[in-house]
Amino acid sequence: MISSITLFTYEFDNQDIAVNELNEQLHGFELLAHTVGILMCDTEFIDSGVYKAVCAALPFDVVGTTTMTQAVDGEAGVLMLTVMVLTADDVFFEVGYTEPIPSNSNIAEHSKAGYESVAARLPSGPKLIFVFPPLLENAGDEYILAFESFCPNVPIFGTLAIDDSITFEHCHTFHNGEMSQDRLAFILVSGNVSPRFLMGTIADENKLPYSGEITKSKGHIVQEINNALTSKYFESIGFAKNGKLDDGLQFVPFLLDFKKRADHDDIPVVRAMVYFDENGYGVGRGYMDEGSVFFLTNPSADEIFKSSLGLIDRLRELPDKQAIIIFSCVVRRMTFGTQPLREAEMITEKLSGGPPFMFAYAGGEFCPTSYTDGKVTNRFHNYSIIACVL
Amino acid sequence: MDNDELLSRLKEYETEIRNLKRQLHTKERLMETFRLNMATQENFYAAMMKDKFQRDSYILQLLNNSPDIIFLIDNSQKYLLGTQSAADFIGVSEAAALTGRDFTVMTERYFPNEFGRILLSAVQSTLETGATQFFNATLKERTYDARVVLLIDEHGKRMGVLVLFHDATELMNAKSEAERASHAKSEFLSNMSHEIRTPMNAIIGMTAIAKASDDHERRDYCLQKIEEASTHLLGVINDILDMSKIEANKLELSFSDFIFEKMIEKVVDVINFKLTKKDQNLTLSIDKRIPGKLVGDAQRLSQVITNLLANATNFTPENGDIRLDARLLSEENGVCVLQIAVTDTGIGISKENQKRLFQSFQQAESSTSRKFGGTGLGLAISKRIIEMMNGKIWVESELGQGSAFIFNVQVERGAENSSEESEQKIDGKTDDNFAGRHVLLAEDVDINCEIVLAILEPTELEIDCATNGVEALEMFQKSPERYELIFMDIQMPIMDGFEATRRIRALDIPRAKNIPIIAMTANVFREDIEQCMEAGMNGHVGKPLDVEELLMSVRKYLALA
Repeated sequence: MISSITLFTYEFDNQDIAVNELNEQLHGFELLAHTVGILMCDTEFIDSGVYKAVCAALPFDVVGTTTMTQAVDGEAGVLMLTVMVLTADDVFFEVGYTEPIPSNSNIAEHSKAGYESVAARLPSGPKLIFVFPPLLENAGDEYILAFESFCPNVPIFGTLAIDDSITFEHCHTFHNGEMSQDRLAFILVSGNVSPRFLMGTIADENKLPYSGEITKSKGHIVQEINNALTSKYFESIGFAKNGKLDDGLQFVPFLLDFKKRADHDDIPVVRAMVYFDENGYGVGRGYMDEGSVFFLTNPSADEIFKSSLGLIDRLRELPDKQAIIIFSCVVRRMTFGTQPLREAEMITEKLSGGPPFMFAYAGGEFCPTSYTDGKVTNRFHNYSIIACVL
Repeated sequence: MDNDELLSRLKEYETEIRNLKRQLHTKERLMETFRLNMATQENFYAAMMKDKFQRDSYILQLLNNSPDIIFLIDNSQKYLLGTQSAADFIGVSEAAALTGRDFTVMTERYFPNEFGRILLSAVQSTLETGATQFFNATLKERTYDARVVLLIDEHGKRMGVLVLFHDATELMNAKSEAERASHAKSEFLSNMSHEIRTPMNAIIGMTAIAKASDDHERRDYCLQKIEEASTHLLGVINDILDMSKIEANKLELSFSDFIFEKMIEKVVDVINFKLTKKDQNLTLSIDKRIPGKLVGDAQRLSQVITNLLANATNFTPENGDIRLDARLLSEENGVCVLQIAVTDTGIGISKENQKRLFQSFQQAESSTSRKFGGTGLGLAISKRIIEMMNGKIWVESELGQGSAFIFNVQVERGAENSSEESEQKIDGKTDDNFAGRHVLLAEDVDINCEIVLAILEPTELEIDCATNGVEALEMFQKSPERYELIFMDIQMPIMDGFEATRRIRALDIPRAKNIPIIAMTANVFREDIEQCMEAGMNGHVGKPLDVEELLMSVRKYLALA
């Protein structure tokens, strides 16, 4: 059985102060046979060297990514470093860091060796994979496809790296003091573990009367919608004039129904489209298959907050929680406008005093939409809030 | 200040600067987030407005082009909007001019009558109870199906009512017309039943009497009656068949040369017995300028004239006068326009009844058929025939003053040496003795075979009978040189007449290629005759057999043999 604790510090300037704070929090917590730490922090902690110092000081493997606003028990803030510590005697954790992955290259090819070397250290096949991929041009789905090719039917949970800028130029992944903008960090978990997953996203009652079929696409590049060039489609409904991205495009969630997928499970997946390329094609964060049908939505801050609240309420009803890891899409935070801490504060208020939890913002969310009877449907999401309960 | 203090102060300032930079960075990020959010909302607003304008445009076009009268009244009984048809119905030129007006005041102004009262009551009732009101209304000679339906919003709250008037006038008229036509057809069927049963009764009755009688005179009398009844029955059947051809658009004309005067003679021959019976006088007047030879459908033309003359005799009392006038109205490029008029001193026809005369299944009055007999199809058939000849038929009549049925037709001037003449030469032969000559008859029905044998018996033709196509083929194959002519029924068991003909023609025997094969069949439509020719037959004789037609066929083909 897993035991956990969440460490945090706001000290992003002084390495010693930061390390001491974490050590004090860790003091008295028994580390069992196998331990791993998931570290999330603002980029400030990298620049000041606090991240490296913390990794050096902690007596276990640490992986993670940069993020922005976070929340732990009793605390919610912008500039934080948090570490979710997972320890157990009968659960095995092995961390990995792949070779650098060139943007738009084959994820599986560049991560297979890394995965295999880590998997070889496990006493048995993994039952859960935490992924912390870099923010590349690749679609988030490619990471799922890669890991599913290595070990099919294993739930994958995690987040794309993000930072606190709008341009996301300083997103890093972490591995034991190392950091990179193009290496994938991951944790393979085996043994006595039964993870549960929750997901909250845009409600389909917020659908707008703009619906379409993706009539031509290649992965996350949407070439045509309703047989019209993607940029022309958006022009036709009043968006993105003159084929240029109007900044707001990435704030427009697509409620996507993968009609033609073999593993179609009737649960719409939310997608984001980031910009139009020189051909007028829409570039998204995740796969938008040909034949998929979508609705555009325009959720308000209240509606997004409502979906987070719903997830937290469901989470609270789950029994036997030892550790909770929650990631929420960065665009949800941006929708809160002058109340950037609204979601984080709600989570702190609702979950404090209970099992240890960590909340951070994600650049893209990895969470199964179903995991029952040993069969898992792994999905990459946007605009969603996800939770893994151990 | 010493160096340590300076360094310490410097560190503090650096920390301060970093903090300020972070705060600035945070503020910048916040502003950028606001800007992106605003851009998103602007996009959505623009898209929503575009969609709204598009929908408004569609709705407006829908309203402007809808034939139904539709308008909306709100909860406070104010006119909201409506179709242009609604504006026209109410009596204003612009639909928009009615928006916002009190509906009670509107009904008082535009419908100060029972209709307005019913309409207002329906609107108010629906607003109050929510129940849909249905009613019919007649206004300005139009009949409407009306309904008033409650409108509710997405929260179930009442918004007003929708009033819809659907013009059902055409539907009602079509329904009345259909009912009338159905009634007329029912009457016609009843009439036809009578027309068919009456001669059948005569045939059956007279046959029974003849069988039971040993008296030759009585038997001759019975046979005479049977013949008359059969002829009448055939006429009824032909009328019905012609009418069905007309209804199916399959009535066709067959053009050939004919002599106009001879055609008139034949018609008079046919009608003569009726004239004699009622002691009526028939006067003929044929324009000398009418060319002797014409090209047209003589059979159909004579059918029309015969029909008009028959009507004239029927509806003229005894000792009355009937006149047949034929005039040449004009001739241009070989096309003659003839005008033929049949005038009588009969009962005449009212103006009201004249309107219905040429319609099928109609007589002037339904009582006419009961009093004067007839199918009521003759004039409709005649009209169709005349129109196919690029002509026109009409009546001039007054009740009690007699009638004149007049028609114009176009026919072509015939050539001097036409086939009619050579036909006449054959026709001129009266010595029908074909002793020693052989004919093959393929006929599966015994009575039909018996009739042919009986008709041709005086000619001493030797007739061999086959009961189906296979037998006919075998008999011919066995003795091809024996037969000079084959009469071939079409509908026979085992092998029909078409197949038998094709097989005979396919035989590797010279005689098989040129022996005349004449179809003998009740199928007399043009396509049936064409089918006979395609199978390899040379001619056609219709059933029921016409004795003269059969003999003409025998004469023609045996003369050619």
